[in-house]
Amino acid sequence: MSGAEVSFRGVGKAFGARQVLSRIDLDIAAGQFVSIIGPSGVGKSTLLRLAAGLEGPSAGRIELRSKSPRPDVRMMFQEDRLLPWRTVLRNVTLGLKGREQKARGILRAVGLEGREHEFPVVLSGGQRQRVALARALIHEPDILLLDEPFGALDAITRAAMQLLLEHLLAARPRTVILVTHDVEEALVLSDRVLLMRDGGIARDLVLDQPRPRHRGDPVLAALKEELLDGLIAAEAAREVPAVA
Amino acid sequence: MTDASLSEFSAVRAISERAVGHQTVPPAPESHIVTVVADVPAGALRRARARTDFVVWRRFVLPWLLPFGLIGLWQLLSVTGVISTAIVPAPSEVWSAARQLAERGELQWDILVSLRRVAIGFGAGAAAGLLLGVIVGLSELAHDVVDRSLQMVRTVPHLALVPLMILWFGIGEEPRVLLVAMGSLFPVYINTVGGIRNVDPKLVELGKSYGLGPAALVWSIILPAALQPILVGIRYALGVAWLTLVVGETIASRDGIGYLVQNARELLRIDIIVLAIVLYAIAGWLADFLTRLVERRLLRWHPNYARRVVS
Repeated sequence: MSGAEVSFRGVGKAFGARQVLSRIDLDIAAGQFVSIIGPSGVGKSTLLRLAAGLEGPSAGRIELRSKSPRPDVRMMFQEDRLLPWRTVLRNVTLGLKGREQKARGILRAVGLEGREHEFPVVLSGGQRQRVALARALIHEPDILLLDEPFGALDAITRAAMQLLLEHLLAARPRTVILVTHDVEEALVLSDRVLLMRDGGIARDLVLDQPRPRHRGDPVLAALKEELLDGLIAAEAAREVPAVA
Repeated sequence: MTDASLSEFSAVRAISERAVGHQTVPPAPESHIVTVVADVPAGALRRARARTDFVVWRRFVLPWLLPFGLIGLWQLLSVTGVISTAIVPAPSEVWSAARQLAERGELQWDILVSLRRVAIGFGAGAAAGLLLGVIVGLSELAHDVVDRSLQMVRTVPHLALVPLMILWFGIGEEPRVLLVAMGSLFPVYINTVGGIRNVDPKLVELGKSYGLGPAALVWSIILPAALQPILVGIRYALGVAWLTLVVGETIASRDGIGYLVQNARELLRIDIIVLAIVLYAIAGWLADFLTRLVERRLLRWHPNYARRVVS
């Protein structure tokens, strides 16, 4: 299994009178790691929630195609959304019958061996996100959707989590869409970076730098500058009051 | 994901985890909570014993000091004649009254009868409140149909129904059990509805996106998330149940603790009246203690409950 294809065809989404996304056409190949960056409120998370099926599009069509008849999609949120009354292990097996052995294996993979029977309240932010990651991965999803999952973590923990994610994906590639505010994170992790602006995609950047990538890489540094300029421009565009 | 790749990777994780310094201290077992002792290797055993002694003292002795102290003072004042035993009997008199009644088997019988009434009434009322609360909390339609009426009935003091109940049912078991049930229903109902309404929608969304069906969603996410307010409702309902029983038994009955009081009043046995009040206090404390035990067990994941010293 190497993930699923995702395609958006003329997708629009409005919440009441507010048009969040309009005419999005996007094709993501199976196994591709795509990052979406952009100022707050341009519809990054909405795009992700549409792909997850948590919201329905107001216009257009979203298709997921994989070898399995029904592609499995899992989402990880900015908040860990762990159930505080369940132990770590039982959080991972949420919605599954049995599968404890597998859950233990995945918890070992995310570095939480021996913490299976603790309650989430005693874990640190990074550990909690690892549990959330394990909970998503136990389903072996074709598509993994990440909505700023590391946004609330401190810099060192975030770097550790990025490393972990990279390792896990190297062992088992799947389609990933990551929404992030962190341009560097996007550049280090992805095959492709989308810059969103006012409900649409302003830039579509393909990265073919070899991995593992280093933050200090001059090519990446140049791209980072470029994307940051793009972000600032997108932000500035948003500050002009929109005339409906 | 293969197991080999998993375990290979876990080694990497384990090292970097330590380097990152996110190792959390495992939660201290209960007995470690109330003391903070400097960690010197020598004499650890003695310290551990001292700590256990302290916990025992703190948990089982300290909370009882005040009530027993007051009883002692009361006895002292009675014996020295500061308090006239014609107005308030001495604790020793209350005790001998209890023994007399117990010898005739009356005391046990009355306690048993009262307990039975509370158990049935409270059980039925709390169960109905929980069931209604869950339905109304989950369904907008049920809320619109039922909630207004229930809120109206709730504002009627249920003790106002005592005369009506006696007219309808006489002085048998039904009126008292029914009153207790009515008194227990609303606290549980209101807290259940409120608890369910306040469940974090993000957790519900998470449950849905992890494939939980409606029943699993209620059982695995909504009820546990609403458990805290529900338990508050149950505790409160227990208090109301006792209160209702006292009133119900005092007004019309042939047995039970309330009857004991009524009978004693007619015979001017103040010692028995005081005994009955003490019995109510003990029963109330016991009920509260049991609910707290349940609370501690069910909410052990909650940082505010996990480590609290039981009273």
